[in-house]
Amino acid sequence: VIELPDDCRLAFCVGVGGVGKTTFAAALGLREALGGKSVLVLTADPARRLADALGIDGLRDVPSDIPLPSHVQGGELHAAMLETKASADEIIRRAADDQARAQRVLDNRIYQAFSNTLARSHAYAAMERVHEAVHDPRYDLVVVDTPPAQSSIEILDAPARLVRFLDQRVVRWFLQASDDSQTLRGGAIAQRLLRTVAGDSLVSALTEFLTEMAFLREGFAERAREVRDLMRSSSTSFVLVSSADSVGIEAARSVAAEVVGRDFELAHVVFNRAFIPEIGRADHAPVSYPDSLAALVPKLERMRASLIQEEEQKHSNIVTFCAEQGMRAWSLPEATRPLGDTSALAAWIDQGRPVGPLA
Amino acid sequence: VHAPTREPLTRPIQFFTGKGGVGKSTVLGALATVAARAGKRPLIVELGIHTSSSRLFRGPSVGYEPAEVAPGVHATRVLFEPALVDYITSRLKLRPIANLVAKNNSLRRLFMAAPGVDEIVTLHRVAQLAADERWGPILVDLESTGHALMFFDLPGVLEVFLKDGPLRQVLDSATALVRDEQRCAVHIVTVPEPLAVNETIQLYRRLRERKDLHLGCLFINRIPRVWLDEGEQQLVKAELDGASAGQPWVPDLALADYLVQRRKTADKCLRGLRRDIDLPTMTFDAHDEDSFATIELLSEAIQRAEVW
Repeated sequence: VIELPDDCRLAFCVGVGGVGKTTFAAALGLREALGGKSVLVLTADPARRLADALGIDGLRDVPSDIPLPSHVQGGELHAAMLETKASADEIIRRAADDQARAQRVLDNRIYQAFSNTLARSHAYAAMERVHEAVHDPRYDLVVVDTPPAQSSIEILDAPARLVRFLDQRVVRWFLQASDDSQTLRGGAIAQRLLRTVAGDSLVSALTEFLTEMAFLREGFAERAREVRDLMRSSSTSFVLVSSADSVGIEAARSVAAEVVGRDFELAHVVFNRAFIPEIGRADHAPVSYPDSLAALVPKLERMRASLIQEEEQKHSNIVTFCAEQGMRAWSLPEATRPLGDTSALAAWIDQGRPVGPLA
Repeated sequence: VHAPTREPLTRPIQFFTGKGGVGKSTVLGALATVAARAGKRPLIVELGIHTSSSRLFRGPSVGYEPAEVAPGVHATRVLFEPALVDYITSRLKLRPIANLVAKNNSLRRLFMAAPGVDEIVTLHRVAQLAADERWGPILVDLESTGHALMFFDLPGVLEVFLKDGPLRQVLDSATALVRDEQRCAVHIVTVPEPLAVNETIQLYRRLRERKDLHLGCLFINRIPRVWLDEGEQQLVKAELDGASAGQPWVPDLALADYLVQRRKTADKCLRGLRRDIDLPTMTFDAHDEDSFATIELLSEAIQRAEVW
């Protein structure tokens, strides 16, 4: 079965949207909770059916308890929203010990223009939430369902980018360059170039912003470094979730390269909706149909043949992927019936089949 | 073929948005193929880290400089660093100095991390390609719905504090481009699946609020095939629930029922899209073929398609 390493404390589910990544993240958290861990799943708002399966009416910022089957001993499952919209202001307030100065940052035009519009601050806010959850003693394991596609990688890069942006040397160079000091000619020339390229008003607003941010920088950079280190830590695992059709395989290739290229540990690759369990059972012996179905038999056979062809194509895609990457992958079944409760969700993830070199 | 509803597809700059995995690049590839066969010079513009067009067309790897991926179809990727150099060059008029600035470690770090710079140089590059007479139409593949909203919201955000200066000019030309109904259209691509449909309707509403954007067409991709007629569906259901219970052919019936449900879900989604989205709509059947063959099939479908 698909399991995380014993010492895993943080698992990121990454991949493109629309392949059941949220369902997978919930099922993975559930699997670990059934094994006795106290697990928090942080996710974007799940689809109605998944919320129903988890026995909740929706997610909030505050974790909800997910009821587990009564025979389970010791494990706990909690789920909360991975808020990627609201908290840029909170981050500033938390990082500041002087609230008046925090307010000046919040009032800055640059800050206002970007904090709630661009994905990067959302991504950083989300990573702060993850950092907080990992250090919460109530949880042994945090499973994160990252937002889809582009922002999935964006979110992983947010801490490192912030560390770079707040890099002491860059900021000091930039701020000093705005003085007229003769000793900083290199910086001054570069700043003049920057003004030519970006315009006076933007450079002035940025200078003002960096000046206000200066007092926050140390704490901020420290926190961002911690988050970045956490992501590289040996107790953090990445699980790539994709579909196995040709579009999904290509996306998986691309995301795998992004994850590995960042020195993150890719623990599993999971291809969802890769097979239909009923096909396996139907495949064995020839069946003699009753007369009531006689007229339908040719169509039933064509329908099954079409699904088998679909499945074989997916399997061959996965095999190719594994050979290229030199790693094992998992294929998960298409749920032909809705996953009605936590037992069905657990049964679904347990149907995962290994594919590839180490299978 | 209704000429007025097809009109948005004839504008020189076309943006495509939609949830990841709906086959946006395939639809875009088919439209580019049709344009090339009509003697135009289509250019596919990909933003971000993913590139699909080289694989879709089995062509050469796509980089920053436009490359021909299929007969008459070119593609390019907007990459941050060369786009930054292009932008700086356009300001400084001297490429060697632009290269120096882009190679300056501190400046590059600042540019890469500073919010908005990525988006600005991307806008600049798109405007630059749009102004280049070698290309037409330009088909811009916006990665995901969130990305699209950010891309279109950016000029509004920056207007707050960009009163003057060169960035103002980039913004003005990009804004003028996006607001020009004669030149620009924003298309939405989706599939008839519940998750995609909800997101598509939300996206449509948010884009429609923006009075300055000109929505083009809705493309509904991968409509599953109809296998059984009404009577046959009922027979399958009745056997599955009753007479056949526990029999060895039950799995076959379950598969049949699964394919029927797949189509029913799709029909429900199509009704929802039809009800909530008031755009000329083109639909494409699902295909078992690989994406290269699918592009060919979709190109044919576009040429004979009826538009809602």
